Amino acid sequence: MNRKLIPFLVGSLFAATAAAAADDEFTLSGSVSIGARGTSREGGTRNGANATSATTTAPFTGPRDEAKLNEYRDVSGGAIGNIDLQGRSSQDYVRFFGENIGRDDEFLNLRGGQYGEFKYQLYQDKMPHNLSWNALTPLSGTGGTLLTGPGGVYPSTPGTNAQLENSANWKAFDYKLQRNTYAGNFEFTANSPWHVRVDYVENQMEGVRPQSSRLGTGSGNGMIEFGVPVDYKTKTYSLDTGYSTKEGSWRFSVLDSKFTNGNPLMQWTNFYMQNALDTNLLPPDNDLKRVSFNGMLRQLPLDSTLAVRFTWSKQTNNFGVTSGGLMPTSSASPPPVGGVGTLVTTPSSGTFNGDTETRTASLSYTSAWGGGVDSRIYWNYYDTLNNSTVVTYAQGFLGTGPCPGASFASTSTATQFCIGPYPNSLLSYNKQDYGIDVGWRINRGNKVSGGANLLEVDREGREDAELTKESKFWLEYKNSMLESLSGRLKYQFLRRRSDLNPAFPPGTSPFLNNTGAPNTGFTPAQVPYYYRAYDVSNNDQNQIKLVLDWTPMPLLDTGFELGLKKTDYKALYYGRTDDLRQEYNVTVSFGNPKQFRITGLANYEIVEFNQAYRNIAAGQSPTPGGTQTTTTFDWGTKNTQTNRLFGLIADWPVIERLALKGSYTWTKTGGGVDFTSGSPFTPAGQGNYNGGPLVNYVTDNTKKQTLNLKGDYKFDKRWSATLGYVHEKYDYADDQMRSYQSYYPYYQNLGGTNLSWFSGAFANPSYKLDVYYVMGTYKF
Amino acid sequence: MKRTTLLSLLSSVCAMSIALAGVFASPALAQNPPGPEVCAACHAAQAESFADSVHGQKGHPRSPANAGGCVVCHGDGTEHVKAGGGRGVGGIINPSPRNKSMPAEEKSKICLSCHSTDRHLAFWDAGQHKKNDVTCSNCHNPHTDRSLNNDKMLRVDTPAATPYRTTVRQLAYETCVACHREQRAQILKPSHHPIVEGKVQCHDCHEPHGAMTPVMLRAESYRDLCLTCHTDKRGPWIWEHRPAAENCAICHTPHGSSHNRLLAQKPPALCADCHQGGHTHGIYDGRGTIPGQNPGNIRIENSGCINCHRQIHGSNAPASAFGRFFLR
Repeated sequence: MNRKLIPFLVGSLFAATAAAAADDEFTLSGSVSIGARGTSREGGTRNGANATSATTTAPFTGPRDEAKLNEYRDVSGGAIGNIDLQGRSSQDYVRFFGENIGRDDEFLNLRGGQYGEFKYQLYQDKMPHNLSWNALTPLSGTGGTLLTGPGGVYPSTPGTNAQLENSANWKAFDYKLQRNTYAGNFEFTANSPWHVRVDYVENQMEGVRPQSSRLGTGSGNGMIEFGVPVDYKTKTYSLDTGYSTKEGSWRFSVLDSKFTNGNPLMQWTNFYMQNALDTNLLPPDNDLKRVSFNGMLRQLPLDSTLAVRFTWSKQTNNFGVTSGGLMPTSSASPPPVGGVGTLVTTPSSGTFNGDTETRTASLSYTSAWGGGVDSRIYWNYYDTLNNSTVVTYAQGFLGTGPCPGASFASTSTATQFCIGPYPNSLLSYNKQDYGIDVGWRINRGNKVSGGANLLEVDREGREDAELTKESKFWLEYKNSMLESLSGRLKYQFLRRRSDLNPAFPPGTSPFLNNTGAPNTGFTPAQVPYYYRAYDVSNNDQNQIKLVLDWTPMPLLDTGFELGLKKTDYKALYYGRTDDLRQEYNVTVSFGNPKQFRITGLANYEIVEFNQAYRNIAAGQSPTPGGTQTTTTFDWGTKNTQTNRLFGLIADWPVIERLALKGSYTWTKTGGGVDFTSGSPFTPAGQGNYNGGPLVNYVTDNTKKQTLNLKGDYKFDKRWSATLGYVHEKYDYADDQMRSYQSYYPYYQNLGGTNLSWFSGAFANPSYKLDVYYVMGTYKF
Repeated sequence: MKRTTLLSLLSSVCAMSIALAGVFASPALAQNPPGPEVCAACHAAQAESFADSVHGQKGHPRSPANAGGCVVCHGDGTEHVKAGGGRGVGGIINPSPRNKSMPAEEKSKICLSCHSTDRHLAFWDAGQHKKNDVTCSNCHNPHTDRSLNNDKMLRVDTPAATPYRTTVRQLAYETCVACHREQRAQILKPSHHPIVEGKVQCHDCHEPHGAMTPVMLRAESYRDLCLTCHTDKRGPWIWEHRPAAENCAICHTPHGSSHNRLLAQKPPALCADCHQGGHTHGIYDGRGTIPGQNPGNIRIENSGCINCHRQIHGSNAPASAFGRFFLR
């Protein structure tokens, strides 16, 4: 596509230029910049050892990962440049901008038209999305849809399959995606209130992204991480027309967006399942159709404006329903030779017709009442109806049948493995929110505003909360009486309550005892009174925001922003109990950008939230508190996330010909999880049950420093040069990734039958980057 | 010192020019507002940028160039000229964001006198920017440099901290973060949309000129917006993850996160907010927590729950492959 688009863009540019040049007044100006870039790059390594949890052997340093420093950009060395052309006559214009030509982040944009009559645009935007490089896998064929293993026995006894166990024998590959956009549009207005516009956008994404799968029939059987091929294409066509005057406007548009995936499924060797081929289904093709209507009327009584919007959309797809999955024929773990088969759970429909229809309506009426009072009333309606095929999977078994009962999740014995039956459950919901905002400008320097909003979500197909209501009230005061100081203080209160339908579907008791079976000593209906999902749980939330802008003296500008949000979750004992978010932002700028200006930025953000849970032995009470034993006890977590930013930016036009710019930024993120446990297990502080300690750990601790220096020198009106240097350093530490960084290797052995194979994705994205560049620019 | 002298000299020449223009004003000037050529005597840079912009094109049937030039936005400058110029002198209108003596609505009215027929401004009155006294000139400067793809004449004087960028384009986010300081910090977090890299713009998701959605989204809901680009997540799926089918923002935070994939929290804590049950006693079932302890816990290591439940946005795998649990 690119090979075609570039000549087309250039050809179009010259064609447009030639046409416009027929007009005597046509002028062409612009600039061309050409230069070179040198880079020094160093990615982080994933250190590990081919080992078991009991013995560490053969330490090794894994390959470097430079993906993060290339995440959304192509920083490789070589030629760099850009071109910026602007052509114009009294009636026509054409503009072209291109940069990073031939690179992964190439950008080309051609725009033109005739003033008031029509305009057009063709553009191309390429973006790399590098996720993690030099990952390792024992599977061959990454990038394709068939990943095969080396064969041999499943190493339930360490040391029995060197090909699987020793990452020195594995293959390296990159998790990377390339997303390219090719688009164009044409708009015709003929200097009238009417407009017609057509758009075409094509997005292509290719590459390999992380995928993983559980190996056996439970989480204790381990997992494997591998690369899944990506070959996506989305083509979107739209037509937009309307009529617009000062008194009002309307607009009607239709859109069709088709997504296609070149790889509907992939297969991979499942070591646990006796090296049989397992199957992962990849995103199916889909089609989105959308129609929308906007209308607006101005100059109504009380200087009012009425705005309305209606949309209808439909997402559809269609594919054959698969029925078989790789399963063992018994509870033996790992399955013996001949102990694996394809378990078929016959679906009620051989075809799935995905069909989700959404209707929305919005209305807004704003008025100016005089005396500085204004108001807005609004209503938003959103209704999604999932008309997709209801698929019920029948019971299925491997080994000696039939299954022991009619309703269960899955069960296995020494002679059989049973699943089902399972019906799918489709979510439909309806949202409505309505409210009023009122503002009163008391005088030029004082304004008070307030508002109220009520949101209702009515769900079908979500048993834990069929109805959620949110009430929101806010009050704001703004003061700008002083020329040098202005401020804004806002308070908001939000109250959320959900109705509960405790009738859980059979076999889905959310409370399980320590054998994994439903806690039969207590009815499932009891559970929801103690536990509620975060996104629907009742809560009261208070929020404060303060913004101050102060100019204490000429050339000195300061800004301060404070945000506080505290949420208390109500009527529950388990799950998230409360959270608090604090954020502080400061900006100080001194000087005049035309002479010298230095700006300082700072940010501090901390989010803290607490969670409460309970381990329960069979027949024990699900309620919190009471006697704590080693098998029935309360436990919880305290989670923290922090973000710090400090930046300095300087602009210094030293002389008319020379301008210097520099910036330094330092960002640091941190956080972690601290545990509490009521278990009396000794030694104290251990979580017990299986004897594993609950060790506090840190997550996503990162630090990044960036130094950016740039100088522009103008030789004359036409020629100039740019010289720059950039240094970036990114450090990463995360205890959840310690598999790679200290003790465990890519290959992990948790025990006899729960082996896992990690590829190293995102394990250590640390990097160092130095960039030197020089560029010459000619303006004409 | 030389610089000061030169500026003083220029100022004197400018003042004299204005004074002479007043003394020798033609009868026509006395009746009609001064045209761009008069303004250019003192405001040469602004006159040049005006002539270079769409506003200065006489070929455009609705351009200010066909309606008197500078006076369309800045008002009749007759008294301003007579008084010898100066900031705000003679009733000259200055809609700059730094001019706090002029109400925001008055500033916007100047632009809306022509642009109110722009269909992109149909919901200006319903939007948050108008309500919060944001004016056109807070973001746009018709006298700015339009080169390097700055077609929207965005303000370019906002200092923004950025990593190394391979683009030289003027990026819209630099204008937005002048006010949206919270987002300024978020987009620099380790996991972010490619905003500072110039591959996603704030206006790809938000409609700064007004919308009827709460945060001026370009779509009717977060999910509809996200699925505009993330088309592979659209489904419909046989097995839906209900939060994903309702609101992506339950799990993801769009402006930036410390955690991979723009997650609001790190799994397994994220998942545990809704899934207390399962896996015997939840995620911390006694296998310990982090790697390096014996035994480790695969439900916490690496991606946590996502290690196995990778198809978390939805699955079409059969019951026998545990599609219901998003495993295949």
